[in-house]
Amino acid sequence: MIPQLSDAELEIMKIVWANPEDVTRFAYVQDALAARGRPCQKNTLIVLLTRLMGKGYLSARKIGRRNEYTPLISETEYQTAQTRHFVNKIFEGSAKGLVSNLIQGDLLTDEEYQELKQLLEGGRGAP
Amino acid sequence: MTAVLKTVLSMSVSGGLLIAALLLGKRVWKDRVSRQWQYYIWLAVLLRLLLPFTPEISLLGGTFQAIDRAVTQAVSGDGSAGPGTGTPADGSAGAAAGTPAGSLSGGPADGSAGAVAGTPAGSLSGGPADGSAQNATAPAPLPDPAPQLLRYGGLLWLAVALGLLIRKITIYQGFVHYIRAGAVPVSDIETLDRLAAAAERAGVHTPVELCIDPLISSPLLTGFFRPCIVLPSADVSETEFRYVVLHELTHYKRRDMFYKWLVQLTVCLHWFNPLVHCMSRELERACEFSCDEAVLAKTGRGSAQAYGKTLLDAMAAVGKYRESVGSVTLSENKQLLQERLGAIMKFQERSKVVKALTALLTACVVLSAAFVGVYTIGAAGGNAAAALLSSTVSEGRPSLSMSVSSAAVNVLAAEGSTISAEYDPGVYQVAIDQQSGDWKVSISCKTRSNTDTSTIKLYLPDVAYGNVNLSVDSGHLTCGLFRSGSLAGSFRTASVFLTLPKGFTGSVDAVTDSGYFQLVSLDDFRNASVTILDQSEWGEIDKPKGFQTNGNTSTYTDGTGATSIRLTSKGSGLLGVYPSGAFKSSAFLEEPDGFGQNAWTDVWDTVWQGAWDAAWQGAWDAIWPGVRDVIRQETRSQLTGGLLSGEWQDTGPDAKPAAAANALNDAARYYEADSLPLFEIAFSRQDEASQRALLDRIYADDEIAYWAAALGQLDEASGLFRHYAEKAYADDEIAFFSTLTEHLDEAALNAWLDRALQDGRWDFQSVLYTALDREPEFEAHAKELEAERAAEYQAVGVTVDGGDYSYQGRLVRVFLDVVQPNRSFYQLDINPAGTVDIRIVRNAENQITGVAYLTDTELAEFFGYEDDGV
Repeated sequence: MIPQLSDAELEIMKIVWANPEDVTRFAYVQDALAARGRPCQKNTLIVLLTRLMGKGYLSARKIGRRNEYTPLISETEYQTAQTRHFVNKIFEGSAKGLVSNLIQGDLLTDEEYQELKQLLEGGRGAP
Repeated sequence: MTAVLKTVLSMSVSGGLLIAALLLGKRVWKDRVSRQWQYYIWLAVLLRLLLPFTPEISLLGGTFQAIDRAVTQAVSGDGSAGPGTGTPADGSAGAAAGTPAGSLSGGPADGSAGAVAGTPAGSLSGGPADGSAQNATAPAPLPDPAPQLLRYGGLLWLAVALGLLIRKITIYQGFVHYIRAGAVPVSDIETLDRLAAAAERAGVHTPVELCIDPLISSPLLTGFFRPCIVLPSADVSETEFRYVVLHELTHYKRRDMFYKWLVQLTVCLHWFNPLVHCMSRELERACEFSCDEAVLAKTGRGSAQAYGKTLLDAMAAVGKYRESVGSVTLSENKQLLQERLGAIMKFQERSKVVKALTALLTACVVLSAAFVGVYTIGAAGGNAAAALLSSTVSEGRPSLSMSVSSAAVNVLAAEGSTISAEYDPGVYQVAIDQQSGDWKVSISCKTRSNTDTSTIKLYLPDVAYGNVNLSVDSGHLTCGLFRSGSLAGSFRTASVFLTLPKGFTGSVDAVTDSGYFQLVSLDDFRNASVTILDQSEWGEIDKPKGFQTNGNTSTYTDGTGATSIRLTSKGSGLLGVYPSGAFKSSAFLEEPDGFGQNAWTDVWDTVWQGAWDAAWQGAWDAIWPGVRDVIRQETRSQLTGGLLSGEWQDTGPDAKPAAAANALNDAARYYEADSLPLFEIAFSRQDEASQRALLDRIYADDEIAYWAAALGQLDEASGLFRHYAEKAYADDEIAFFSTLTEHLDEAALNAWLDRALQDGRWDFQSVLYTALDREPEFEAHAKELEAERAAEYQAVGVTVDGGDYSYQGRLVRVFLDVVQPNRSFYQLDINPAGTVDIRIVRNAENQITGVAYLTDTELAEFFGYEDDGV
């Protein structure tokens, strides 16, 4: 099971996942956090990144004085795991419960509903 | 194990003294001295408790030595009576050991080691020395309490120490697990940012982890390299958070965890010492006090109240997990807290006077920590009185193994059957030890340099021995005691005088490497077969007539040849083999009155300083005074008893002509034999006429090394220097002249310089300027001359520009100017870029007359190869 992330950690992971490059430099994360309106101290970021490494989300490579981080868990993997966790916790393992709740609770726009319908009809093999 | 225990005990006692002193001192200085100092000064005590080093003079060394000697004697005394020799004589051993005086408790605790040592402590004999004494054939001796106690005590100590240490570590691990299990990392970026700001302020550059654990009672810090601050609750005000974190970060910054564990280790090792436990408690307080002080020093005096409030709030939470060993908590208990609050409110900067006094106090504590000393294994006390170490040799044929290093030892016959040594325990280390019938005597110098002039008297029982191993390294040994046994000798850079008494039965196999070894047979090698093997690089072997020499082996056989004597000479040095009447025929042992005039010193100093490498020079210098004394005594005693005979004559200071002639023969002989050090010695003993004759010969032979050595032996006022300087100058022998300048006084050198300047003797000027320490002048002079010469060259069409010579517009490749006809000085310049080779032509008056191209033959002559366009 993939460990849970705190909000701050998730924020950082989102930056790493959104980075089109394979590796993410420390400064990149720091700048992106500031750009998102959540600036933080260098030491704080080091602590958070160290925690992410400890949880197995990131691996780091030291190049000279700067660190380069590579995600070990992809965004999709994380989302799947989180969804499974959510489904297990709220709907007792029933994905159907989740979908019916989405539909009946009016949580989907018409557009989304149509797309979802197509996805269901297309079966598992469809993209 | 007993040795380790004794060391630990002594460290504990000396450390305990320091602890008591510091605890008492604390009442005096209270908070007048900086809390930091009160904290770190304990480091001196910790080091005293953990490191078994000791300076030369120490308080405890003497005390423990006294106890040790009593025990050691007991151990070795009964050991000799053990089953190793096959004679169950445990009862008699005690009696033989003399007056039963000392016991473990009998050792005085005031450092007067000599007093106890004077009376052999035999009361403890009768027990086994060590495991080797357990033997079924001998009746089991009564167990002796003292060594047994020490042995089991040692095991007990180790077991408890290990147990405590393991317990502390497991408790700490459990505690860390406990915290880890409940700790939740703080994910709030704002809080983490505040922590980062505090870390910056505290000067901590390592990223610090922050966790919340509601199970703990007060904030604490874990981790040695990756620090983690654990707070009981996240619900704290910003100020409070800042102080708490700053306090913990300061702990980390100061590496208090390591200090704490060092203390824990000390407590484990010295678990039996209540004072060490007191120190541990005091240190815990001092740690927090000094940390508070450091925090306040950073935040300023104004923050004392807020900081104090933080402490109080931290205490409000009730402790849930009391054990805090190894981690650093913010507050430990209420009483301590009260004191801390008081200290915080009184916090003040120290004045310069207080700082100076603190420095002085530090010096006192550190010095006393160093000099309170500790008993080290086998060390003798700082007592300058001669100590006596003795042990009993049992009957039978005991083996003896003796090693001497940097000490002068005279072996004498003991009156009874006891091995004993008289020595200065401040300088020497003597160990007499017995293991299954094999005696070991080891004598060495405690200090690196030995300026002691005394001789160690080693009394050995005059009994029949089995195997005797004698090993001397950079020391002196005189021994004429062994009447039997197989003697094996190994001597390195040593002076050894071994005499085989009349009726010696047994064998000798000795190897001497770079030193002096003299073997005298008092019954003139009767029934002996002697083999002398010369494997030395250079050296001298003196042997009586009648020895057959074949290559590097000399042999002599008499009668049955039962006594086998085999001697090997290695390295460098002297090996002398003499019969009873002729042992003074050694070239160096015949001057009874010469000693008063330091003849011996001179001779030996020359040999050692001139010939042997500096590596063991120091060692020799160190032992020399002692050796010299011994040799003096030795020679005197030999002379009083012996006869003067053989082909060697007495050559006292009132040298008879015959003796001088002999000496000349010697010097010439050594010169021919190419033995420089011996030549030097012999040369110094000649009259001036003989010296001159030899010097003439050396001069003619162009043997500059012998020349220099011989000059060193001349009287400084000798007229020979002037004579030869004149000669060398006339002959243009610059090398010989150069060696002579070392022996000329300044006036003479100046006179010579004037002469050389006048004569334009360039090379002699150079040598003389150097001898006068006036090289810069020579260089200036050289520049001047160079300019002069450049002008001269110009006159014949050679231009000099920088270092390049040109002739008729072409760059010169090889430029040669033989300034002096004998070629002792010439100017040579090679420029690969040049195209012509020229030489300056000079007439008989040495004046430049022109320039010539160098021929190939000339080039070859100068460079040793044909010019093939190089």
